[in-house]
Amino acid sequence: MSRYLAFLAVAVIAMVSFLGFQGKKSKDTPVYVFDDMDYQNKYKAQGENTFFADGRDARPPVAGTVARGNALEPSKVFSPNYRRTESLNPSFVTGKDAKGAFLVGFPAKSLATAKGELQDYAINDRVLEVGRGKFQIYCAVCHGLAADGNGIMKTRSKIEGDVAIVTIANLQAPIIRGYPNGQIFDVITNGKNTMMGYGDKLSPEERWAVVAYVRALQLSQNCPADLVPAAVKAQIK
Amino acid sequence: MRKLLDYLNRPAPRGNFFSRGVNAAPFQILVCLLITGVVVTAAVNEYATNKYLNVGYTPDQPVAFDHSFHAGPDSVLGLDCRYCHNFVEKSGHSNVPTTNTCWNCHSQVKPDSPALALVKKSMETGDAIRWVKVHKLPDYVYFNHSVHVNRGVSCVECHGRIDQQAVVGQQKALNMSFCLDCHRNPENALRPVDKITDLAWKAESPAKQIEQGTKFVHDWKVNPPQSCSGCHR
Ligand code: HEC
Ligand code: HEC
Ligand code: HEC
Ligand code: HEC
Ligand code: HEC
Ligand code: HEC
Repeated sequence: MSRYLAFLAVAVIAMVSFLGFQGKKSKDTPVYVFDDMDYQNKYKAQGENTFFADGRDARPPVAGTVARGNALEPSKVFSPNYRRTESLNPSFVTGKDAKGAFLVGFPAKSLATAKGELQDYAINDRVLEVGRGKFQIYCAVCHGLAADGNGIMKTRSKIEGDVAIVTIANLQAPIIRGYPNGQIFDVITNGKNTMMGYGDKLSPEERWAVVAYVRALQLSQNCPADLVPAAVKAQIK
Repeated sequence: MRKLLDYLNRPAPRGNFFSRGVNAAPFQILVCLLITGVVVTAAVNEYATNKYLNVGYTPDQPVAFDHSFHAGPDSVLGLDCRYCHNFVEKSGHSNVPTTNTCWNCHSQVKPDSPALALVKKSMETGDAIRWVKVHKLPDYVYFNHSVHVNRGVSCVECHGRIDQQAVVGQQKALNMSFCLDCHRNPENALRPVDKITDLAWKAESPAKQIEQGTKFVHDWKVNPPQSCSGCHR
């Protein structure tokens, strides 16, 4: 018996020193003794695929085709009078009017349709709230929370001469205050010079919301006295 | 025949055929079996679970991207998770960022650094960077990021403190009981939706968390599936 127990103890020590404990860091792909149907041969989002030359599951759409799954009904898409809402209201996605000039204000109509009619587009609390969220995620790193061009990516250079982006624009500058809304929209969509576009990350609705929020920030840093509510004025004085 | 009969009728051996020690044998065998049973149970419990198999899986990535420098409010850059994982709120799949996303900054910041050579090459050729996938559910489990994230379930519940990791490793077991523990008592985990990417966030006290969580469960009509077909569809 003592011989068996000694053997067992050695076996346990060997196993533990070889396998370690739970939570052990490891670079090796987990081993599955019985892999059941855990990993099936199917196409997955951002999956790898050895069949195609570029190694991706995701195939770029063939020119002139409509991507699956964007809520378009075939019966509608193939009817002769089908129009994409984008083509009904191109200024909403380009920020430019029919003549190609930047929209000065916000677009009058949105992309949402009801009974075939485009709905009105209006800036309200909800839109500004969306704009605030998106601005803080996507723009504040560079342009700063107050859009004054002092985000961490610029101020870094002052910390021990770290690498930073020095060209970052101050969105409070008079010239950008003077931009038509459509031009800011265009910068967000396509980028400009050393700034890359954010059109791939933000939908047109979200981009207009960001424009609205940038306008709100500009107003907040340069607020005419008659716009300040009386209660706040009393506090300041 | 004769020989067999002789053998059967042989005289009984003198004294005991077995040594005295044999009297204890049944007892000893029982003890050994018990101890072996305990060891095997402990080993299965320790090793045959996701907690051993998957937790701690920290593969080398093709580019030495460091979350603890780039991401989270306490990091140097303080990027929000959604700057890179930008579909997490909108789709079931949380994407790993495109190379363009890195290039937003790295076109200006150290574009020629050897650490970023693969990123630069990917920008030039359009080939994807082959990031190694860390968290994996079996394919027979349906999972959706946006339902969770838009109902105040933070990344930290399922991924741990990614914002403190230089190399991403799996920190939670992601087995079925892990999912169900929360689905049965979501009020322990829900937080205000604007705090989901603030991984360090905690309610002021555990009691406050339950109170707030219960309110969210009620207000947002949160009803996580516990039936098999909710996750195995
Ligand atoms: C990676 C850093 C970075 C981020 C993030 C960023 N920008 Fe910029 N932005 C820049 C730089 C750099 C410039 C200056 C471009 C130039 O003229 O070279 C700039 C310029 C601009 C300009 C002025 C362009 C002009 O005509 O002078 C606007 C408007 C602007 N950004 C808006 C935004 C908005 C809105 C966001 C968020 C969606 C954003 N930026 C995110 C770096 C950034
Ligand atoms: C600057 C871009 C960036 C930001 C910001 C970022 N990530 Fe990531 N994340 C990546 C990249 C690139 C990968 C793939 C490489 C890797 O695993 O390190 C990744 C991988 C991951 C993974 C592992 C994916 C897998 O394979 O299972 C998780 C989980 C994750 N990130 C969570 C987060 C969380 C949570 C945050 C916010 C605190 C965050 N990320 C912020 C770029 C980013
Ligand atoms: C908001 C801007 C920003 C984004 C987006 C960003 N980075 Fe960085 N990254 C930086 C800064 C700033 C540094 C630090 C440079 C320095 O001062 O050493 C850095 C450093 C790095 C380094 C170390 C470089 C070196 O030579 O030491 C790597 C690797 C890296 N980033 C990878 C990535 C990858 C991969 C992505 C895309 C998923 C990414 N980064 C996205 C700003 C960014
Ligand atoms: C309720 C749990 C849960 C929450 C909350 C959660 N994740 Fe995940 N995440 C998972 C699981 C499970 C997977 C593995 C999915 C799979 O098998 O493809 C995953 C995978 C990922 C991946 C890798 C995707 C891939 O295919 O490479 C990234 C990146 C990621 N999560 C980021 C995030 C971020 C960022 C957040 C917070 C905004 C977040 N997750 C919140 C459970 C969660
Ligand atoms: C920390 C809490 C938490 C964890 C962990 C968690 N969930 Fe959930 N899950 C929720 C909540 C809350 C909802 C309900 C959302 C609602 O009612 O709108 C939900 C909903 C779901 C749904 C329903 C989605 C739909 O489309 O109806 C599925 C499927 C699901 N979870 C799968 C999983 C899986 C698989 C895991 C484990 C990898 C997991 N969840 C882990 C909190 C969690
Ligand atoms: C909240 C989501 C969820 C629900 C509800 C759920 N499961 Fe699961 N189930 C999972 C996950 C996640 C796994 C994968 C665990 C792993 O990776 O080991 C799993 C794995 C399994 C497995 C395979 C176990 C193995 O290791 O091979 C079986 C069998 C199973 N589930 C049966 C059920 C049954 C029966 C029910 C209903 C009583 C159910 N599940 C309900 C999430 C769920």
